[in-house]
Parts: sequence; C-alpha cells; structure tokens
Amino acid sequence: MAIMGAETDRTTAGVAVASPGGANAEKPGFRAEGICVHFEGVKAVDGVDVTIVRGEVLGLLGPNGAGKTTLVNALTGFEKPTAGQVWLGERDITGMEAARLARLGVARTFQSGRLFDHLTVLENVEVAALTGYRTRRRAVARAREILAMLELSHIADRRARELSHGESRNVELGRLIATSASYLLLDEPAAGLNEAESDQLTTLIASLPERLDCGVLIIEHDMRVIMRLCHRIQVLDHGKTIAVGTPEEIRADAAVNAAYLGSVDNEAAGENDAAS
Amino acid sequence: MARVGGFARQVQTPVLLAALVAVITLLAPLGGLAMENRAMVMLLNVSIVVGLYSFAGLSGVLSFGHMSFMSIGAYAGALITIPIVAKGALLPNLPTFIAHAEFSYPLAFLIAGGVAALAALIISLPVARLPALALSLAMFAVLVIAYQVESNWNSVTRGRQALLGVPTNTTLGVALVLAALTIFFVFAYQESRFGLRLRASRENELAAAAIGVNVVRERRIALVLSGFVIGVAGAAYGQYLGVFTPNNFYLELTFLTIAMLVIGGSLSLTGAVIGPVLVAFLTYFLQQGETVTGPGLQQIGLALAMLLVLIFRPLGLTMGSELKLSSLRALSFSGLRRRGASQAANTSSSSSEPEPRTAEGGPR
Repeated sequence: MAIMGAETDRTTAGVAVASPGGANAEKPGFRAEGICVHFEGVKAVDGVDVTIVRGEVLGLLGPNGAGKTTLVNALTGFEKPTAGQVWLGERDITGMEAARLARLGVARTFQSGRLFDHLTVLENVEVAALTGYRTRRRAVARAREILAMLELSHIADRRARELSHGESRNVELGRLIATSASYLLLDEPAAGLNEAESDQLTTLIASLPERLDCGVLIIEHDMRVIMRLCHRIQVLDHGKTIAVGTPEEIRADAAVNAAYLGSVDNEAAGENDAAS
Repeated sequence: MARVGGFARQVQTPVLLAALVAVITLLAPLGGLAMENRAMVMLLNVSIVVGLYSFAGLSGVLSFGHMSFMSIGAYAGALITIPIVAKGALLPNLPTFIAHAEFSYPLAFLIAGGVAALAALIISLPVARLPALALSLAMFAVLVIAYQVESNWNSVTRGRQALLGVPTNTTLGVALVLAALTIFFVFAYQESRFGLRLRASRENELAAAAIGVNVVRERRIALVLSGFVIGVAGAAYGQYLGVFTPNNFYLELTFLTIAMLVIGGSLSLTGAVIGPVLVAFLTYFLQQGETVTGPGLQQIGLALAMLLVLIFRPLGLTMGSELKLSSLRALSFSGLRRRGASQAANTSSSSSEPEPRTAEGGPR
C-alpha cells in the first residue's frame, strides 16, 4: 500500500528536520516568526512560529477557535499579521498580497470548497497552471497531466458545480498542485468526505512532498488522517503553540492530551486497529 | 455524431452567433424600411451588449457606467469625421487638432475606440482596486461625470444642443460586420488566458487569488478592452443617428443594455447576443401593443421581462451555456424523439425515456 511507503519516507525526513533550529540545519524555505493576529482585542493568533520544510508534511492541530485558519490566512496573504514576520527563503513576504504569494510559490485551499462553479474541471485546474505556464496551450497540457495523475480525466469536461463533494475536493487539490507552488497549505481538505474518500485523499497528499518536491501544511480534524500523514505536528490552543513534534511525541504529550486529544485519539487508535 | 475538428469546435460558438444575427439581418429588409431600421438597432445593441459583457459578464462585476465609454466613442468618432468646413461653422471654438482632423469612417471608429479605451484605462487606475459592489457604483459615478462634462463642454460637444451633421456611415452592412467582429473579438478574449483568469475571479475572487490570479489586473484589462469595444460601437451608433445629444447615452440606454444582458444571461457570450435579439422582438410586439394601450407599455414590458428572468431564471435565459452545434442537435433530437415517442407510446414504453442532456447542452 502506498501509505506504507509514505510511512518509511516520513521517518527519514523526520530525522532530517528533527532540529530545525540547529545551526547546521539546512535553511528552511518557509518560516514565520512570532505571528500575531489580533482582532479588536481578541488574540486569535498570538506569537506563533511555523516552519514548513520541503519534502515534509506539517500537521496543524487544535480545537475549534484555536487560530489555525487565521494563522494560515496570515501566512498566505489573506490576513495581515498584527506582528511577526514571514520569510520565503531570504525574502520577507509579510503582508504580501495573496495572488503575488501564489506566484512566488505559496498556495492554499480553503475550508469550504471554492471551485469555479461555472468553469469545467479542466479549466479550474488550468487557471492554476497558468501561474507557471505562460500560454493556454501549455497550461491545458499541464492540467490534463494533473487530472490524469489524480485519476480525474473522465470528469475533465464537467462543470465544477455538477461534481460530487468528493470529486470537488480532489479537483481542489488538483488545482493547488497545478500552481507548481513549493509550499501548499491545505485547510481541512478531507472535511465532509467518507472514510474511503478520505483514505484515498490522504494517500494522495502523502505522496505530494516527494513527487512535487514541496512542503505541505495541513489543518485537519480527523486524527487518523493527521497521524498517518504528518512528519511533524504543531498543536495550537488559544492562539499559541502548545506542542511541536513527531506524531509519536504528540500522542505522548500530556499537555496536548489534556487540551485536545484525549478521547478523540483513543477513538482514532481504535479505528486504526480495526482497519488493520 | 459528426466529427468536428479542434479549431472548428472552438470557434463554432461565435460562428453560429454571427450567423444567427446575419440571418435575422438579411430577412429584415423583407419587412420594409421599418424592419430594416429595427435590425440596425438590434445589431448595434448586440455590439454594445457584447462589449458590456466583456467586462460585466466575464468579471461578474456589473457596470452601471459603461455607456460613458459609448458617449465618448460617439463624440470622438463624430468630431473626426464631420467635414472640416462643417466643423468650422458648427463648432468654431474647437481645439485645432480636432478642428483639422478628418478621417474615413473605419479608421475613425478605431480611433474613437482608442479614445474610449484610454478613458477606461485612466478610470481603471483608481477604480479597478475597489471591491465588486463599490466598483459597480463607481462606474455609475463615472457615467454621471461623463454626462455632465458632455452636457456642458459647449466648444466641443455643443453641450445640451444636438451635435449635427454627423456623417451617417453606419449602414446595415457596416452594423452587421461590426456586430460579427465584436462577437469574434470578445470570444477570443473570453477564451484567452486573460479571459479565463477573469472568469475564475468571477466565480470566486478569493480562491482565484489563492492560486495566483491578480484580480485587479485582470479587471483592469477587461475595463480597457470593453471600453474599446463599446467606444467603437458608440462611434457606429453616432453615425447611425447622425444627430445626438448626451441624453442618447445616459440612464435609458444604461437600463436597456443591462436588461438585455440580464435577460440573455451574463454568464455566456451567447446570452449577450441572444438578449438584444430577443429584446428587439419583444420591443416590436410591445410597440404594436402600445397602439392599443397608449405609451409606456414598451418600458414596462421590458422591465417586467427583466424581473421575471431575475425571479425565475436568475442566471438569464442561457444560464451560462454557449450555443453549439451539439446543443442545436440536442434540441432537434429531443423534438423528434418526443414526436416519435408519442407515436410509439402504445407499442413500447421503454423508448419514451428522454435522453439525458449533455453537459454543454444547457440547463440541468
């Protein structure tokens, strides 16, 4: 199974980034320091550091209202951070507008599906491919490649509004891939999917870092998805980071368990046992 | 199914639309001069509404001010085609570079379009950054400003007095060629990478930005292009009228063209062409009715038609579908099948199930 392959990759990659702050560690491509987003006194995000490394999936975890989506908004140009800085390589990209960021290599999806309803599936993916390819001809070719890779070629000419929820979520991912961005930020990509669909999507996302040489940040509530997918997990609560570590470390972390995981984790573990 | 080549398949929509408009135009002279006149107005409206569509339809931002580009095109086109001698008498205080300019009409149309596009570019600099609703209203403000300037700039426009002596170069043939060219031009834009990005931003502005679409830039491009198209149409309209005032390009025309786009459907080029065509027929019947009911029926009927479309078919009659050979075939087949099915109903029930329509065949 593809998941197993991803799992072995994960351990090696996990070792490589075990000490991102270390002096000799390779300079990470995408990092944010001390990000704060305050809305009229409410500290939605309050001094969070994030690092996304190419070849790795970072899970962003936390209860509702912990500030996950706000943080992603601040990282992708949809929200101006009250304080803090975002770096892409050597470049300060704090507060840069979203479209420009996407062209520089930081693209995202949204919690609720946001396809271009009256465009075809092919056109949906093609718009994103235009970010990297100058002509429509080349963008179409790239879009077809991606649809083939995601096994979506058969719905290429359907309008997006005619798709099932599961299909839409896959097309959204295809659209994100088509941007050729180096850093992909996914906001609950598996929300609303049934177990089989969610498994399929997880497998696909797990393969992305290696296949596209990109870094992935994923917000996800489904523990099974997070534990299987992520090399590192960062847990937020009340706008602050309360833990960062490998899935095993997070599972063992008492603070996290107290704040969030608890019964959910046990449930997920039970499901995993049943599945295997 | 007949095989259509890739290129032919792509351009079938503008070809069919131009053909539709051409057939109506060629039949019109059979109805006498009055019908010919109606066909002329219809053709000019097609050019204007397709121009409006190239901004409002593709970007999803309705504009209440595009008729300002039409008036700019009409005045610019008129001022550079009225013979120099006539201008000396009519507008003695005209700036010299305009007073001494005299161009043949095809070139004058292009220059008029260029002037309108330039105006659109200047307006777009501050305005394209605005959010959608604010942009719609800002364009309305632009319309008011253009109207007031044209109404009071006596040395150039003759103000509220009519501009006279405009050569009437716009014949039925010229209007037909212009409508066809406009259809092809806007279709090419719609299918270009710029048009695709703009349509994506219409569907979802944030999602488009998240994958790298610079929405402001795409809207700016659309504003300039639509300004050009409508400017050319304005020049042609002016040279159909021969005499006009700023009132010809104000609220009434704004409402009329928006109604046409809404009725046809602003999500497809087909809607932008079908709207003016249908309204031409509707207007004809309403005017016939006015002989019985008295004046006002025409405007009320049109407004009612727009209301009904908004309530029962908010995406317009075409609902985003484009005219294609396959949709024509689907229509004729479903007609045949229905007839065949009713005949065969007694013998077999299995064949009466209607064929599911193809995705491009229209509404679901």
